Parts: sequence; C-alpha cells; structure tokens
Amino acid sequence: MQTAIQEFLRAARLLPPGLRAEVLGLSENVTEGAEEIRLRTGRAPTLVSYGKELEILPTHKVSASELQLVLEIATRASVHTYADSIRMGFVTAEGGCRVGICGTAVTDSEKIMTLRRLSSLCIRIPREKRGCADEVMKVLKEGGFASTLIISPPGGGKTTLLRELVRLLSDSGTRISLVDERGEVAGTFEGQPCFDVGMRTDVLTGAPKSDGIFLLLRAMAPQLIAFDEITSPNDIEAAETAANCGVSLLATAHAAGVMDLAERGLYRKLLDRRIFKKAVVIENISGKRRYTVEDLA
Amino acid sequence: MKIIGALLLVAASTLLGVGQARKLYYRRSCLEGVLDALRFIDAELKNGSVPIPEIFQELKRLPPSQLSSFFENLNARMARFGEESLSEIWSGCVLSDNTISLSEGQRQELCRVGTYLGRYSETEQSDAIAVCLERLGTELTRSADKAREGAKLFTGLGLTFGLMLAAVLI
Repeated sequence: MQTAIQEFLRAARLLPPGLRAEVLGLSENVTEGAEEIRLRTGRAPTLVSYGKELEILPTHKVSASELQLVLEIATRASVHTYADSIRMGFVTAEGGCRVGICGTAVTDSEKIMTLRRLSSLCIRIPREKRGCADEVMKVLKEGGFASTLIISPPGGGKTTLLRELVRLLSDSGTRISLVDERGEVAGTFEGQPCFDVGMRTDVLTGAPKSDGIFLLLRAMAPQLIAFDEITSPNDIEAAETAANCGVSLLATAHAAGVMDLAERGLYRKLLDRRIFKKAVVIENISGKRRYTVEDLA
Repeated sequence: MKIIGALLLVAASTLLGVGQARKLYYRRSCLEGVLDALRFIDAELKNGSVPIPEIFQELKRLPPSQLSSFFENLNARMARFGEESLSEIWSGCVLSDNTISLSEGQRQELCRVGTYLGRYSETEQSDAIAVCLERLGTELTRSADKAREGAKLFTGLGLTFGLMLAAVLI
C-alpha cells in the first residue's frame, strides 16, 4: 500500500520538470491531503485538498506548452493511442492518475473528434485507503451482501471506497468482475493493476460500462460486477440485465444522498427498478469521510 | 624495386579514391536506412496504434544497419523521458549522432518530424512522415546520382594521380 505522499509523488511525476521541482518543494502538510492538481494556462497551479482549491506557487504561471508536456508524459509520448479517451476528455496515466483535459474541441458533424489548444488540466490523485471500508463491509454483509450503490458528490471518495470494498469482497471469496472504464479503480498500467483489487477480481479496462458489463457476463461468469459512476441510461439497462442474471452489483453515483438521487431523472429510474438494495452515502465532514448505509429496497 | 614501389603508390592512391567513393555510397545507404525507419514508424502507427516507445524498441531490434547505433542511443535516452520531451530527445539524437552520415538539411528535416511524433493523431503524424519521406526521397535520388558519378570520379582520380606520381618519381 502506498502512503499519501507516495501517491502525490506519482501524480507529480506527470508535471513538466520545472513545475514538478516547485511542486515537490511544497510542505507535506499541503500535499498530504491533496486530491487534485489543477493547471490552467496563464494562472498559478492549484491544489484541491480536503475539498478546497488552494493556489500554490503564485508566481508560476502555467503555459500552454507545459499543459502539452503533461499530456505527452501522461500518454508516454503516444497521444494517438489515447485518441478515444481524449475525445471523452481524459487520459489515465500510470498508477491510475486520471488527467482531465479541457481545451478547444475539434468537431465533426457535432461530434467531438479531439481536443486541441489545451487550456486546463486536472490531475486526480487516486487514493488507496486500506481499512476505510472495514466498518461499512460489516454492515453490508449482515444478512448477505446485496447490490449496493455508493453515493457522494464529486470528489467525495466514491472510487476509493469502491476499490476497498471490491478488495474486501474479492479476498473474502466473491468472484468479481470490475469494469474500469477510466482505469481509475484498479489503476491498470500495461495490463497490471497498480492497486490491490483482490485476488478474485478480473479487471476490464477502457470499455464503456454498458458494453463491459455484457462482455463480462458472457466471458467471466462473475458473482458480482463492480463499476464506477452510473452516468447514462445504457449503464442502467446493463446493470438491470446483470441483476436479472443473478449477479450482484456494486457501483457509484453522483448525488448528495438518497433523496437527492431520487430527484434526478436518470437515477429515479434506477431506484424505481430496485436494482440496488442498499446505498452507502459518503459525507465529507472537514476532510473526514463518514459512511452511512441505507436500505433502498 | 622501383616497379614494386610504383605499384604500391598506384594502389594506395586508388584506394584513397575508392575510400572517398565509399563515403558517398555510405551516405546514400544511411539515407535509405532513415527512409526505411520512417516507413516502419508510419506502418506501425497506421496499423496498430503502437506507442512510440515500443516502436523505437522495435527499431532497435531490427537487423543491424547503419542506424543501429542511432536507435540504441535513442532508446537509452528515452529513459530521460519526462525530464525532456520526446521531441527534445529525438532532436538531440538526430543532431548529435555521428554514426549516421546525413547533411545538416537532412538532419533538420528529421528534427521536424520529431516535433510531430507522439503528440498528434495517427493521421497527422503520418502526414508529417509523408512530407519528410518525400523530401528525403528527393535527396536520396540526388545522393544516388552523386554517389554513382562520384564513385567513378574519385576512383579514376585516385588511379590517375597514382600513375602520374609513379611516373614522376620513376
């Protein structure tokens, strides 16, 4: 398991040498809780820590060529092999660091073909927090594990909790298939997961969730399918099919809570169909995560 | 004795001429090697979306040629990727490698391709390679003509000079 500092260093390796040296000079107090490094052209770099965005290195103004170099480093000088994910606005670098990309969209018949003239990048620092799910797992396992949805606003720690729950369930005997569309959960790099996702976990990286779920149902005979962020009706259709095949589900969704979830059109459908039986709601209270398990069925 | 000396003189002088002629052929074959390597990169990009570092590794593994040392050097310098951009690494190798015999203009042409490698879509990289192939292809034709003419000229000059010198000395 890596420490918060090591995880930060891994993300900092994506920065151009000059900026990296400056960022690595920051005190541990600043970097320890870092969740994201944000770079915007003509602006000082910022660090998102415990939910707050702080300006670091106020004298350093990020240039467009620095953003280009970050993308080059993240893609190992092979932007062409990441064309599909760049089109979707991100690339996943070594260690599961997701780099969100913003710039000028090149479109063809209203479809985004690629992004050019980068204006902002957001480097997310993935966290592996062993033990963070121990208590939640005990509650979820009462009466047998049932399909569970992890809920929190963006940056709330859904992916971290999902990763840890997958590891615990997998190591306790459940055969899991993980659809890791953005490569953030397992941090797969060149076929090898950087994070421990358990001994009985099969990871499918890069596939859209809906297609991935169908593929894994056919190919890997999972007892549980895990995936990050339900974002489209197709994801819900695929999840329902999997549930109808007798497979348990573990997934995440953006919402402040179950009530908030019910107010959103997409997720209301999800609740109505009773695909998930339980929800884990994550609250961020002054940088500390609090997990509450609620029944959905 | 004088005849042996004269023969040695003629042979040495002819060899010098042949040596000069071989340099011209070497330049031509270097250029051919560069064109082959560019075609290989282009094919890998088009057919398999292969990452650039892997393409460089493949080029290193190809049968030995005039470019073997260049690609070994390039792969070794790739360890500095992140500290330097790919374009800087590529240009550094192209400009500093003395084992490949290329003119300044040809080296600049290769450096220009380096600014595209790994930074753009397959099509754009492929287009940049195509432009380079066309320009260096023209250079190759010129270089081949030069090598053919130069080979005859240098060998002839070497032989003539040797014969004249031998005649004068005898």
